[in-house]
Amino acid sequence: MAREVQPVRTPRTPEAIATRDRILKAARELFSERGFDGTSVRMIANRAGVSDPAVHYYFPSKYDLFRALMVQPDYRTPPVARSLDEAVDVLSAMFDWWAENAPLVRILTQQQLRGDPEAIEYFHDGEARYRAEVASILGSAGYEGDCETAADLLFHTLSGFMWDAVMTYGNAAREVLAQPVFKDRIRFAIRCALGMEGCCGG
Amino acid sequence: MAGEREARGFEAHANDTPRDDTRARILAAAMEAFARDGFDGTSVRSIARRCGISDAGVFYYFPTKRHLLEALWNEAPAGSFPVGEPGAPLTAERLAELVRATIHISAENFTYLRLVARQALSSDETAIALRNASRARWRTALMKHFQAAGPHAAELVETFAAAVTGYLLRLEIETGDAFPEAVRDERFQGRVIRAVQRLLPVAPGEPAAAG
Repeated sequence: MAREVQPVRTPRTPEAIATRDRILKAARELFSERGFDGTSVRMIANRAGVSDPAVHYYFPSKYDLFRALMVQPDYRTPPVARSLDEAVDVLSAMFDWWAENAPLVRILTQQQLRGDPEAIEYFHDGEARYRAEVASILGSAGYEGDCETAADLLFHTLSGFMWDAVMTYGNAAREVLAQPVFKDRIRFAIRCALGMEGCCGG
Repeated sequence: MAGEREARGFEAHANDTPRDDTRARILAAAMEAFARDGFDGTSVRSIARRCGISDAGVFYYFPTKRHLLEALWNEAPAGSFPVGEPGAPLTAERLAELVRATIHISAENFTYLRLVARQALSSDETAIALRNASRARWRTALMKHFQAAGPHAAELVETFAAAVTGYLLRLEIETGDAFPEAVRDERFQGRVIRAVQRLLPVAPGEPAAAG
């Protein structure tokens, strides 16, 4: 909760952008290898070949680094879809982004399960953003069901897939989730959540 | 839980010694502490303090912290999943029973499962193997109930498992130590049941419970 008050600075020159990128790359590797608590700012600085203050300059706290790594692409413009089938494509592409970041999701989940307030805040922010995105997608796709219910089902079911994968496969979850059989599974679950799958019971 | 069974078993012996009791108390304290604060985040000293003994007292039974963790893996989870009638239709009511059974097991074995999950997330090979074994048992049991769903049975099992995992783990993130009570809450169970009934297409004539 007690967030640092220093601003997260944006680099302006090409050298500064390159430095910031190197710091992020080092942080991504170290977080994946050693977890959140096992990674210090000094280790990140060493691997990136910069000084500790340089890291602090761009990222006042370790969490700022983590947040910068977990910034989702394109969420500034709400995603849209022209049909329910396209909605399934968009929702499944959104899941792919999480799958690609499985090593970071693994350590984020670790932090959340140990009650780290910032990690839980990230979870709540992510959920709110996801629900808004689902509302935008389903609204533009002409979905006739209840958007909130669908968002609730999608959020929890897809989170469940993600959590199960990182607990079962560790950092290899990224490769496992990229396999076609898994992608089909995700699409099936999304279609279920949107009421697009025919009746299977009885 | 297995730990409690073990403790009761010791009481049954007339020549029960304080030492046996100490060992059981150390294990129980370690289970709680590792599950809550993680293996790396827990010191032998804090376990010893919890038991009201010295560090050496812990080391007498367990030469290293790692030995203590290995001993905990024998505390197998209790409870078994109900096995359904093979071929019985997959109804909304059946889905509700499966959610309740899963919730019951996860509440009963909370500390153990939390420890396994936590260690699995830290890439502990033993924990990953144990978690995979219980994950496979859960899916095998679910598959028996989902047989009647036909060619999509396997996907439905995965979807069901993911949804229940999602709702339960989310609750654990929100409630932490209070998870066992929170998960047993009737409103929470109802919420998960309704979600799963909406999510999975069930047989006609057996509509999902209203609400």
